[in-house]
Amino acid sequence: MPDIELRNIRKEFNDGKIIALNDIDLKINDGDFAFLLGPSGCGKTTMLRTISGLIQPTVGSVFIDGNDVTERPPQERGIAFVFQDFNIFPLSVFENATYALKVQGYTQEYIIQEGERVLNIVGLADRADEVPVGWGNGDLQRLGLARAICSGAKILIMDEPLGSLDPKISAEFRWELRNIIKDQGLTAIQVTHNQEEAMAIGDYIIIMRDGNILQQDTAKVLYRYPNSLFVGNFLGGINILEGYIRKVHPEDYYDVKVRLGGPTFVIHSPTTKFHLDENVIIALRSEDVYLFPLEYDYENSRADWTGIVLSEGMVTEKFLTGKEKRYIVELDNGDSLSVAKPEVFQYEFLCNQEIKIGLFNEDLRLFKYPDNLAKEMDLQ
Amino acid sequence: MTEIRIENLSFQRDGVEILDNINLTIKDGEYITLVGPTGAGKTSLIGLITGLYKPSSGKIFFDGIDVTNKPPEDRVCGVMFESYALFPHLNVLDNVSYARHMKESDHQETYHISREVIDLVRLTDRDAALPHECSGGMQQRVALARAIVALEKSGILILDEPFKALDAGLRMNLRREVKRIATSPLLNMTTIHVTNNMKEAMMGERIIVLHQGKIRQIGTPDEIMYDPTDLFVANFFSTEINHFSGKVISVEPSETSSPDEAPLLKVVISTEENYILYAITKKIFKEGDEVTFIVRSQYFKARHKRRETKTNNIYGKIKRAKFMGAWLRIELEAKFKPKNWTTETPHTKHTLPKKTIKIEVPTTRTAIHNFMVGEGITVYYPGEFVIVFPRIPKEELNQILRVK
Amino acid sequence: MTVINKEESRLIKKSILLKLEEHLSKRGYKIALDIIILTFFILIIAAPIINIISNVIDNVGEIRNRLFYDELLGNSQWLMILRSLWESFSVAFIAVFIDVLIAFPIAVLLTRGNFPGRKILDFLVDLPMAVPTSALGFSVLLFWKWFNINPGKLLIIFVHVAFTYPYIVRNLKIALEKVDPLLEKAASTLKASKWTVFKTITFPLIREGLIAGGILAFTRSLGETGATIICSGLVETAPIMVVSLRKQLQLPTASFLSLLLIVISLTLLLIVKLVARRKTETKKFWQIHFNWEKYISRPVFSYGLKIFSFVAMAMLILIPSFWIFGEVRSDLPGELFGADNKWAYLWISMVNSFKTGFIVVLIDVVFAIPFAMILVRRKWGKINGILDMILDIPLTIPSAALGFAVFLFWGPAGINLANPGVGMIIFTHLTFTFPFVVRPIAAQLRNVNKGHEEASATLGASKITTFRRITFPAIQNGIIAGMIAAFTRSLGETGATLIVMGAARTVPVQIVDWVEQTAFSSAAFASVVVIIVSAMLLGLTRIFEPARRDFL
Repeated sequence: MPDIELRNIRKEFNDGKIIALNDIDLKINDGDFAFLLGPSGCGKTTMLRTISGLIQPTVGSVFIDGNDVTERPPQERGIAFVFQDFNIFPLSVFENATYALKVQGYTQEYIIQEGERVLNIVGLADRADEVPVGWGNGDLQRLGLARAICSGAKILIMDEPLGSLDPKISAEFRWELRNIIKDQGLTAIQVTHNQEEAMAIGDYIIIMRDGNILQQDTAKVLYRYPNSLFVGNFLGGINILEGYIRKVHPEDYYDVKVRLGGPTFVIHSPTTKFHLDENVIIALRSEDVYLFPLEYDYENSRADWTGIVLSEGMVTEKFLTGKEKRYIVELDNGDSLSVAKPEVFQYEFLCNQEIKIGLFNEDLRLFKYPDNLAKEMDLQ
Repeated sequence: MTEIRIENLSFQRDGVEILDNINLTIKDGEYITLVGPTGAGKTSLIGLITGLYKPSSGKIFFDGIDVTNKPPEDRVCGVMFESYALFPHLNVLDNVSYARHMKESDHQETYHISREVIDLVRLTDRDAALPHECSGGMQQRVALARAIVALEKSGILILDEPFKALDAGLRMNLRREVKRIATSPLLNMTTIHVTNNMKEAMMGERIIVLHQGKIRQIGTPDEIMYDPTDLFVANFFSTEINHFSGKVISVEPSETSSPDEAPLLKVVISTEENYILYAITKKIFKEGDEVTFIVRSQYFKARHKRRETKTNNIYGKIKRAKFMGAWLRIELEAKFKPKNWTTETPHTKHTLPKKTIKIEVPTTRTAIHNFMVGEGITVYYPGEFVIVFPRIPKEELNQILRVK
Repeated sequence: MTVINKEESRLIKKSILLKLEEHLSKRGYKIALDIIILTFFILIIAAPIINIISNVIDNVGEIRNRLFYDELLGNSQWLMILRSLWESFSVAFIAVFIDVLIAFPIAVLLTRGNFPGRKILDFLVDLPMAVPTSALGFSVLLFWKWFNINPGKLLIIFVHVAFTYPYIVRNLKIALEKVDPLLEKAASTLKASKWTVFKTITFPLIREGLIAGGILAFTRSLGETGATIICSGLVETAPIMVVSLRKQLQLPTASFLSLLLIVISLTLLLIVKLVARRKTETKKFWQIHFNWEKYISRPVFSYGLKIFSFVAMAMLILIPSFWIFGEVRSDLPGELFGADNKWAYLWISMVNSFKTGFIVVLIDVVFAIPFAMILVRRKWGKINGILDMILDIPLTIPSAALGFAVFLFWGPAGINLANPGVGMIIFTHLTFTFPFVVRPIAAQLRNVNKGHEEASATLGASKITTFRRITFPAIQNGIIAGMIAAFTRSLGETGATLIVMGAARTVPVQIVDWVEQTAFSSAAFASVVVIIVSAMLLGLTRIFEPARRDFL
């Protein structure tokens, strides 16, 4: 079965001046739909090209289906590639779709049969004889996908396949893409710039930066339990507060005091250990901040509220972002938090309104204070 | 600071109608977004405002003065182009100060002013770099600075798809940054921000929705979101929508009407599935009207309890659930049990009308209840968030929603 | 070769072609091909030039004696050489200067303008480049005769303006097409008037193209022989002197002058390329005279300029170039089929010309495609740059000098593989036409969407299958354009042919001969014939010119 394994892959450019992949080990199992995510220049495209054989690694081996294919050219790896800019040949739709079968010498009957089958899957069967000039990007990518599937390859590698599509079309197409891949039983790796897309349709996500894999897990784990500040911030903006460890409790619980006279939290951190007085970053997702009117009696009016009330604050900004309302609230100690609330949220606050801010200790994440905080938060 | 007024503006190119009778007033100092899908005519409209194109008919006024026949260099527009259009042979400082050099002024002063703007866009110390030595994000800021310097701090700033080439994550931060700069009290600009992204469009104080060369709607983000003029606008400003067709069975004034606004109506509708629901709307409907109504996926609240008989509740089985960060996307297979459903009605349990409802619920600790695929849940949506249109024929509906 | 299981394998019936392609895609063949191609390249292009250096060094004593201490002439031959060099360089300089003046507005018109007849104008402007210069020279001679301008320096300048003009316009056009019109639009929204936009944005961006065109025109003018002989009268330019030295069998002196021409041309090329890189000082760059720049930005001036340069172009280039059509007179049949049977000579020379052209182009194209691949695709670091530079040499140096170098290398004095005659003409023409075939192929290869090739590779096509199905169709217009360009160039060449032809004649040489014999009607007739053939060939290149189709 076609699984992919990278062992100790290293790729250098410019005589070692640029390290695009830094000793990567990775395994992608048969039938998985994996996403590669990371800021530009993190090495994700290099990784795709190394797997498909379009470039050779400096060190290390690529295994497909248990066989070492490092030395094999791309055409002998059983991999199909879907490109961001489609790379549709100046041929008819049918000729494009069946190109792989043609150049591998399949019989004409088989080519016709397969071509029809695959064009039906992507919904282009009735346009088989057209030459795709002037087509919309969405249809071009459908054809790119058909061409890849038709090659009979069981591994599909996609470099930002939806990146050139209008946001609206891309959001619709991605579900279709996932369905096709799953229906055909393909193993797929996709690179994207769009975090939401990766979380929506991937089985799991591999986050890369500077040629290293930072974390590899399901969207839910990555989103809820990032192993670094960078990963947490990359999957969706987070609020950070600077603090220090005031007390170390048994079983990895810590008392953390927010600087500038902020409150103290009890935070559980099973994976990373901290010591007394260590500087830390407390991270909190913007949707995990709760807002109440000042007069709200949080203890008696709502049974399921088991969080804590952080402090009072004031709304300084408010705007719609499409699915949610976003409030910027300022805490008493001068820190400010960005808060996202669904549009159907029960309260409506105004700018300069005083409010109460609540949260759950369990939603707080604790990270080592990075050497360069600005760089860690910079997504570029 | 400039007010823009556009009257009966039409534009044709190679015999193709690109813009059709545009009428528009952009207020002094406003930050307005111009949004529409690719090919809507956004770039042409911008070209007409800046003077790069000549209109087929119609007039453009800046502060009441007719500029229709003025060349671009005599208009007060600073444009940040989609591809940035930085001059490849000039360094950052010379790119940014280009417009200042176009009038008799002291070189030192020109560079001084340009450096101020370079600081404003946080590019300090990159004066001498050539455009190709800058990253995408930096090029974008050079283009912004160049447009601002051209305006000498007042005039019309045009941002043509400023974030298109950037990472989704990076966009979020830059959006606020650009708005901070454009609306900075140091400057005094009317801003037109062009985009094909609805989230970005929400940045505007007002939004112009353009589609197929026509203005579909102009309004504040609230108006566009909650009171779209047609299905196209409603769909464009949604991630996913659910639509139903039905008939109005009663209309009554809503209790939630506030005295100082237009009266709201509570419209009760019976759907094709014989399912009863209500909507609160400003629009006037009367009994017997055929309507199409839509509910955006994010307006649902989900509960485990089975409460299908309450109005605006739908009960169904979870067919798919996908974690998407702050939201959980659920495809719900709903079987509609009409309000007056009894075992005697012609429907048996298996022939009840089925429909897939797409919903999104927040994943926060207080909202999520560990929804599992296969289990039944009840979803509720407030009537205030239902958008009602007069009945849209099926073909038109499918065409707008691009259903295959 | 995708991983294929057993049931699927019976669906595959590989044709012999596919199997062969798969086999030939192996690494060993690639290396063998590289070696063959590079050997050809070095033998044909580099070796003759290196040979001429060694020849001069070998004969340095004799050359010194001939030039400076000749028993009869003293140093008068050296003075003649200096004189001829001065004539050549002054003519080339003046001609290029006039060209640039009238080329700019036309180039802008041809790239940015959108008017009926643009394609025809484009064709007419390019035509003098394709026509054999001796035919062109004769036409110009006849035209200016009407104005009582007789052979001499002025007429040489006029001829050179005519045939170098297309090189400048063409390069300007290419450079202008590369400038994104959006940059000019952006500048106009930044308050620059039309003229200022041109000065600060367009011109700096096309400067390199202008210089490239200038160099090409300059070297072409420097090296031209055919037309110059016809129009020179008593003036002797350097290439003509090489030809006459060769005729007098003063081989060492001829090789010295050839080497001198080669060295000077290459040095000049190097200097100009270095100077071109320098940037204007910022302060100077921003000196803008607002009032008058705005004033001359008015449409009336740009129209005026365009009309002026159009009229100048018509007067200096178009009308003189085709004047000859009116000069085919009634005494033609008598002269052509008269006692000495000129028709037979013309026929033989035509056969020679076409035979040479076809053989040369065929050999060229076989080697040019793999060579272009090496040039564009191989990552050999500096070697690519060096190969690229060497490829330019035959374009830069005067063809008479080049012809002499080839004569020395292949001829009896060298490795003695060919004697003066058609065989040696072919060797010579191979040398200077090779770049003409390689250039358009390389240019198109650079534009080939690499993604398409990668897509093809990931879809299971072997390297050569990918080349056949994807790369070749994408560059085939370049190949055809290159072949036609090489053919017209071979058809029109005079200088080098004069040196290596022996007893054989090609059409341009025949024209020169007849003009010298004052058989004007026959010369005019032959000229008209080659002009028509060249025009047709140029028309063909237009058809195959890479269409700028927006295909993904």
